[in-house]
Amino acid sequence: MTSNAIEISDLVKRFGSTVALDHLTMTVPTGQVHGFLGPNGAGKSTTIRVLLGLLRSDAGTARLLGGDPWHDAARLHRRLAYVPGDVNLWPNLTGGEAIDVIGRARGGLDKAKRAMLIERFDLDPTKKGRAYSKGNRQKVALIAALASDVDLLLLDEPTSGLDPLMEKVFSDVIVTERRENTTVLLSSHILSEVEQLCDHVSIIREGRIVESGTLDQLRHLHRTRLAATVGDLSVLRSLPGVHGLVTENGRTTFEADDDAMPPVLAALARAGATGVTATPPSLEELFLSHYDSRTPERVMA
Amino acid sequence: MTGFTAAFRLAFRRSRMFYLWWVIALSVTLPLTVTKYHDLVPQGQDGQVVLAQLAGNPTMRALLGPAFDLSNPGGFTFWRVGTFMAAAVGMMAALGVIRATRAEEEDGRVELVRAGAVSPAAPLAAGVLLGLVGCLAVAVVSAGLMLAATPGVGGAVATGLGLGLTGAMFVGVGAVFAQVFPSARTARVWSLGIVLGGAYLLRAFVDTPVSTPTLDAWRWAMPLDWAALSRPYASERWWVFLLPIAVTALLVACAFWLETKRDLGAGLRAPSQGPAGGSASLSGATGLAWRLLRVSIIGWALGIAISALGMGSLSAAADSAFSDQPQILDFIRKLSGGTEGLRDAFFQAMLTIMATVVTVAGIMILARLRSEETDGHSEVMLSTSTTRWTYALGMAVPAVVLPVALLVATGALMPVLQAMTDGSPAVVGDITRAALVLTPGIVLVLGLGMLLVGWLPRWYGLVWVAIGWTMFVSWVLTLWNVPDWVTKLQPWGYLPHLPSEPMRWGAFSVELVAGLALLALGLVGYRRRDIAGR
Ligand SMILES: Nc1ncnc2c1ncn2[C@@H]1O[C@H](COP(=O)(O)OP(=O)(O)OP(=O)(O)O)[C@@H](O)[C@H]1O
Ligand SMILES: [Mg+2]
Repeated sequence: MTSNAIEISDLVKRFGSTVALDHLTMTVPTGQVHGFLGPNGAGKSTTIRVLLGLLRSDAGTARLLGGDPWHDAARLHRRLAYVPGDVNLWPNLTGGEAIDVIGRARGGLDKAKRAMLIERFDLDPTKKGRAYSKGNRQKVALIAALASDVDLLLLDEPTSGLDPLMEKVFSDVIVTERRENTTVLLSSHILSEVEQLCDHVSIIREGRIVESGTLDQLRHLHRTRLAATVGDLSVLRSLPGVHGLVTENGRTTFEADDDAMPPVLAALARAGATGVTATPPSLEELFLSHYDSRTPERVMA
Repeated sequence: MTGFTAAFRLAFRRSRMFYLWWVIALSVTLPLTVTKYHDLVPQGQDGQVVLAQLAGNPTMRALLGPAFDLSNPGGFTFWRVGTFMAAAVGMMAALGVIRATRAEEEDGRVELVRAGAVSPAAPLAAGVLLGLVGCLAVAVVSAGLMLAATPGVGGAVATGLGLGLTGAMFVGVGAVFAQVFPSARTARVWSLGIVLGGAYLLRAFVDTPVSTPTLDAWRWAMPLDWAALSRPYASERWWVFLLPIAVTALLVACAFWLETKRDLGAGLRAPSQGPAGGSASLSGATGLAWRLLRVSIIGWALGIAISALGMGSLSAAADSAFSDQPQILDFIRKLSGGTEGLRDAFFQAMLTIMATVVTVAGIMILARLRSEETDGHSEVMLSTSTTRWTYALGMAVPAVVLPVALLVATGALMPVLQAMTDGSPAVVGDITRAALVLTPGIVLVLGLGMLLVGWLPRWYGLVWVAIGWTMFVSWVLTLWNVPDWVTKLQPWGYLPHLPSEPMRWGAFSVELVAGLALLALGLVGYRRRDIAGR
């Protein structure tokens, strides 16, 4: 087996005149839990649907578990499970029936695992589909996906609508899956979840990956915010990699590029700065800078 | 009522095209028919004799209802198409109310509306009012056109009122069922399949035998006969219209009362529980399809069996009550597709109608393949190891097999009573064969449907045109002197009509192969295209 569970290169998908995926390239190695983030309409669900062979790509290539997602769809689908972004159950089937019909169609599910998940997610499987609340519909889809032993999980905002307790259960289950070397592609808008679960993160915007790496790597790409009380600012002014220098009430604040940090800290020491604070970019800021379409990309990357 | 205006505006925007097409289709049929009166009915005494006999013919009475004054173009027209059209207005009304109320609610859109400052009953009130406005539009337009086409102000007004008020009753029926059931589909089945279909069938029973005082009394219990009983163009009885008005008021009041008894998104009954796991049969695309369709399949089977036996019981009357005047036979031939013998003409007329009716069952199953996709269920099933081919066939096979089986069953059941009274079982074989020979028409329509699902899913609704056109041809166009090829230009037009016509294998096989080819082509499209999610 190849060492990459997902390989996408130069993928293009258009809907009429909308370009949903614009030369998207990304790789997910086997066994990785990969966070997939991006603003609404960026193309996360579209990417996942192309990977599932539900949508036909217009250009580029995608490989999934060593096969072609379009031509080998049925064969590959035995080895993966999918949770859609917007779960809608058959109104007349009970949750338990829906779990079974999906699991059996995949090629069978693990009865013990099914029972364990129903227990842990605290789901009543005897209710009819139309009677479930949003969160409970989501649980049905999650159990249907997680109850089979698969190599790859494609999860499109799997925890939307779950209460914090159930989010915790979900996280625990994903941690177990990771130990068993299952590959997970997790599209999500919940940053804490991504931070906790994912080894690696890709950020998509307007159909292309704008950043990809471990969270630490991503942090390094961004500026650290510093504040200090400094008498003489001239040293700082002349340093490359220092931005947005402002002094208010005797306190100076500025941002510094990651690779400019050693000279900046040295300069601060030389200038006898006091009350120095350095704040690394929070995840929030990191993502928001990508999400806000009014910010030009170049400034951040 | 707070928020009523907003709710009405929204309902209007979402349903205006729906009502526009229905109103046009429903309002032109009567005026078109009335302009053909003089071509159809021979001049002078002869013509009147023909008409009198015609009106006495049980087949005609079963299909069309009671006749009052056929000597007048308007009266003839109302008898010929009025009752049928009134029932069609009922269909528009029930579908319209359900689409504006329960269907919107089921899709979660009412929730958005209600979240604003809107009283809970506003969406229902908007749907009901819009339905009534639709019926009013049919009434006004058809009365206007009738007035332009033939003399008689009272007759034109009564015609319009008859159509509109029959529709209004079904605004009520649709509104009530939209409260009772949590799904729009179930509400439609009950409103149309059970109440409207049942009412039409019952009135056929009451109207068929030659009139007796008891039956005349029973006729008043048939809401679909009320429009005719108001006697448009035959010294109108205006008070009759109080009946549909009262029924409408009662049903609408009942709907509003039921609305207060239920929760948003729910029906009247608390949702029941079910098994905690799928039974062994609930497996794969076929198992799932059967599970989703079984109630409607059983419903169709029961409904068709009852209708077939019921129609069969009328055939004896068709046989006895008729003379052998050549003029009448000629007329019947025109109306029922060119058959000589009266009993065969009866069976054949019924089979042709039933072919269209059962095809609707198939169209609805194929529509399910489409709605499963827009509901996001196909996406889930197709991300399992179910192939597109297997998945699509899970619905396409029952969509073709069910109507074919229903039509053959109709052919087998209809003549059973006749065979028992005559002691001549041969007729069962004859009519079953006649039904079988009509099945390629079903395959053709569903082939067209599958083609649309496969290649132009958003245009699936176009398949209804095949049904609408067929009905238009057989109810209206046959009266015109249009060329033969035009009236035959429908799914069952070129097929041999046994037993009076000889079997033509050519037409049968060409149409069957064409239908199967369209099905296959549609499946190819389904395998190649994007599957939409929710
Ligand atoms: N079936 C479709 N027809 C037309 N346009 C579509 C279709 N599906 C997606 N799009 C468009 O493609 C783009 C990407 O949509 P997609 O659903 O992949 O976004 P997303 O990243 O999943 O967003 P969200 O976070 O809101 O779920 C959007 O501009 C969307 O409008
Ligand atoms: Mg999405």
